[in-house]
Amino acid sequence: MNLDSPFHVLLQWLARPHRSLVARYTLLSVVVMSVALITLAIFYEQLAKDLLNRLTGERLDAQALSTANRLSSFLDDRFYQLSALSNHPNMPEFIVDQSRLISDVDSLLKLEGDLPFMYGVLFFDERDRLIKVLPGQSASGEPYWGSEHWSIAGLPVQWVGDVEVIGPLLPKAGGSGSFLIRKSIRVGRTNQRVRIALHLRLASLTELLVSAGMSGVVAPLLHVPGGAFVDPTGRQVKAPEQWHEGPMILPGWQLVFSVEPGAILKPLNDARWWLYWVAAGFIGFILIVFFTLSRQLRSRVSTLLQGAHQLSMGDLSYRLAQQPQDDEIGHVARAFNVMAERLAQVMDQTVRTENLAVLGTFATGVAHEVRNPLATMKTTVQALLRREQEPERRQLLSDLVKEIDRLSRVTNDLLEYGRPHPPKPCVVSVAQLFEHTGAMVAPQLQGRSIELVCEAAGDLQIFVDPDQAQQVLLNLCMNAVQASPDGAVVRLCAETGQGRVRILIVDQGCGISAEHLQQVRQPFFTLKPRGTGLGLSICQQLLEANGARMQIVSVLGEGTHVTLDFPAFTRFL
Amino acid sequence: MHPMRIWAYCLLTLSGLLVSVSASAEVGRLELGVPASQADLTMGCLYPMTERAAIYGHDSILGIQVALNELQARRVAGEPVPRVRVIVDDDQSKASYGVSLAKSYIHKDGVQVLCGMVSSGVALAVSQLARQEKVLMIGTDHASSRMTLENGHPYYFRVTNDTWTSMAAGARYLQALQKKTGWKRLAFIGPDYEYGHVSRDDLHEALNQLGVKFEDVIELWPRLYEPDYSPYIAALEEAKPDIIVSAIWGGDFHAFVKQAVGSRLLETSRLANFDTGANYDFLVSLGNKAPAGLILSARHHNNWPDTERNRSFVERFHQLSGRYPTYAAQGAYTGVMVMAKAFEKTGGVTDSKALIHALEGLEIALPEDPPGTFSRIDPVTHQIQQSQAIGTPVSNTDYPPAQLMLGDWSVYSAQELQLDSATLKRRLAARKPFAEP
Repeated sequence: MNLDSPFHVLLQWLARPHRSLVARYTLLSVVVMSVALITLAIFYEQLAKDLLNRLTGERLDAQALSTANRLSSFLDDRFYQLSALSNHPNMPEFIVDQSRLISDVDSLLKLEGDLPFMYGVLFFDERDRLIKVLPGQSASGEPYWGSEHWSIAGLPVQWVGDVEVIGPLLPKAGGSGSFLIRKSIRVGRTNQRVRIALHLRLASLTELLVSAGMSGVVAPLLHVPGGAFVDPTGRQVKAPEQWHEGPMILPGWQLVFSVEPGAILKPLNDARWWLYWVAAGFIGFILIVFFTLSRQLRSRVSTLLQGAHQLSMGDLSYRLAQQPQDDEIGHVARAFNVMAERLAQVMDQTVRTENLAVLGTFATGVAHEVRNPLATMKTTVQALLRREQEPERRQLLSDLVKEIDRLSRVTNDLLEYGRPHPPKPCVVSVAQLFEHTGAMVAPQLQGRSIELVCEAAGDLQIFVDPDQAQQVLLNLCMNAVQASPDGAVVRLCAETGQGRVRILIVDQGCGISAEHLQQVRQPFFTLKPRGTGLGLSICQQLLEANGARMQIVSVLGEGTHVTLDFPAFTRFL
Repeated sequence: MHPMRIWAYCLLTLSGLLVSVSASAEVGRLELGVPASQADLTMGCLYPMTERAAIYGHDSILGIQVALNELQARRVAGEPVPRVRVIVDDDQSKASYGVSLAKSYIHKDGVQVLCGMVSSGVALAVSQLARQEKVLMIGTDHASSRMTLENGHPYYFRVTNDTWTSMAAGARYLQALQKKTGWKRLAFIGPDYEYGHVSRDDLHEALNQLGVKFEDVIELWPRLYEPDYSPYIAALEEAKPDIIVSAIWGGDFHAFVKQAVGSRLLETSRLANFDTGANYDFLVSLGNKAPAGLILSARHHNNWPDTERNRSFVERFHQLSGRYPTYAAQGAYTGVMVMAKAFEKTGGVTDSKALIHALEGLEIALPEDPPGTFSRIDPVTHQIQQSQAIGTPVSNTDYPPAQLMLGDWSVYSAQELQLDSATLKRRLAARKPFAEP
């Protein structure tokens, strides 16, 4: 393909980098539609020309000849009729002696006069004056019932052999058109120069044109002496703008075809213009639609860009607003939000993992450096305690042992948090877990009148590491008990559904504020005066290791609901 | 009624029935009523009994028979009505045939009154003969108003509404319609002979006298018994008239409407026929659905006026023929009844002068007369003066097989349809002078 071709230039123009996608689609649609329209218009023009050529071509010539033959034949018959009357042997006597009826001529004339295409039979003297009229079936008004205003003076006269064709007398208001064919009657004994004429209906001749018409496109007409055009009903009509000449049927009488392509092409032309207007309307509509869509799209894409920008700036909590339509942009927005959510989770996880790694290394080092001296210190203090008799010193040494124990627990917690053991899951009865937990918590309940209520179906089982699960439950129950006032109830219950087992630890304690609730899972965050701040962090770590989730809902002053969501054990696992 | 009279009446009815059957079975000369030797009055009627107008001839014969039966019954009852002999022959709607037959009636049959004729062209030719022969002529069906005006003469009388009466009623209808619809474009199509052209002139004269403004968009003149109206319908479609007034009659009107229904002409134009359109056989041909916008009238309606006289006429015709009459029947009936009444007025004198004198100003109650009115023969023009009712087709199965009859009547009295004195004077002035008989 020539790279300089208009099409190629157009493609390049459309593909300019700064042009928006919407603009490209719009322009391409308009171009495709316009090309289709122009092609259609070219095809239509060609079709219209072909149609017109077919209608006014050879077929019309053949029809013209056929029609002319019909008209000529009609006239030949009338000429023959006229000759038969003019040459009748008794005709001269019939003219001379009008008082005496020459019965055979009279009968013949009346019979001929009653033929449907005739108004009557007329007789003229040598000065064209009417000397006798015989009305026929179609006779009306002058010259049959009065002839004061009737004359053939000034009418065109054509000669066909010895026959005069006079007229036509074109129709006037209230009257029909006619013409005469006239001939001298045979010479008789009186040698009178009398002429006999058949007064013929013009419409009887023009009606023979009817079959020559073609669907209103080509209308046959008779071009008569005097220049008038007569249609098949015998009426004078306006001269056509275009006509196709046919054969002459008499001198000065010519068959013509008014060619009015508009009659058939007008509906097509109208339809074509309607098509153009509709197409233009469509193009306008498409432009409006694309313009509107473009504005909407730009607006909505800009929100996506804003989200991406926020994300790139490190705001992982940024979420796109819910889109008004569930369309492609809506899908992208939802995907963006999911992506941001997961990215935030991954980032959290990564940070936590890195923190843990650092913490683990740190804790291990601290543990090794602290735990052994502590053990030595405890042994030493216990030995001193055994020998000491003084009660005050014994109390001090005893407190020292307790503090050493607390430091050991902190060290153990640090070790556990920093270097967690991988879980060893097995089927664990929830009821048994609750029973063990209750037993371990019982000493804490004594003296405070706190009731621990455990509710679990006997057959409810979960698939977890039993020690880690026990540790989590114990930790959470201890938190609940510690937060609860004296005489309160702590509920430990379990329920199942949708392949999960949910364990709820509900207390009626002091609750946690919304601000603190965000931080309670962070390591070393504690609300207890002597807490390490690692309990919930270790619980979170152990639960994640066992495929479980923890949800904490708390209302300050009312209590806390902790929901543990464990995978249920099924026999098919 | 005396038993013998009843038997005589029945016998006459039966004979009439047989005549009617034979009349419809063959064409040609037919004699009705009493034999020549017993006749007080002999009438020679001419009607077409072939081609599209044949129904007019057949129904006219039956109408004459109804009249003869009625006269016979009255004579039996003791009234001084004449014994009438009626000869009927087929003029084939040709002037030459009509004139020949009329001559034969006068010179060979001793006919005292010529009557009938559907075609105004035939009637004009026979009227000239009547004038030459000084024989009374009673027109019963042809309608050209020129017959009683420009071409009128002392021997010619007409006993049905003429084109002027019909067109004057039509013009009033169109005037009222124009006030409703605002129509402007008028087309006229009529047969290319005397009747058609006079109808057009009378319509225009009547519209102009009423001051109706209209545009004469086209006038078309197909010939009588036109075989194909398609070029005329195409020309009408092209002219786009609001109203088309047609003077085409009989079978020609059937053919025209049938072809027009096949086109889109009647979707945009209303077709009116004020003189002959409501003929019973045309209403039958419409079936159960008429083309939209038809406005029709005729010189007699089977369902109007709703009088005992009209119901009796229609019923007697139906008993005689087994079918309902076209308007031609009432015209022929009237021709006989008018002559009988004239005979009564002259006291049995049958010379033309006496009969003419009796006919001039004669008043007679006819089936076509609305309640409280009667028909009257104008002594100047010799034209009977009657009311005219125009309507539109409505569903009506009282006259089977017709499923539509006219309804929504607009009725115009005989008085309001008369020519004004100036027009009458002008048209009568065109008459050729004639020595009083």
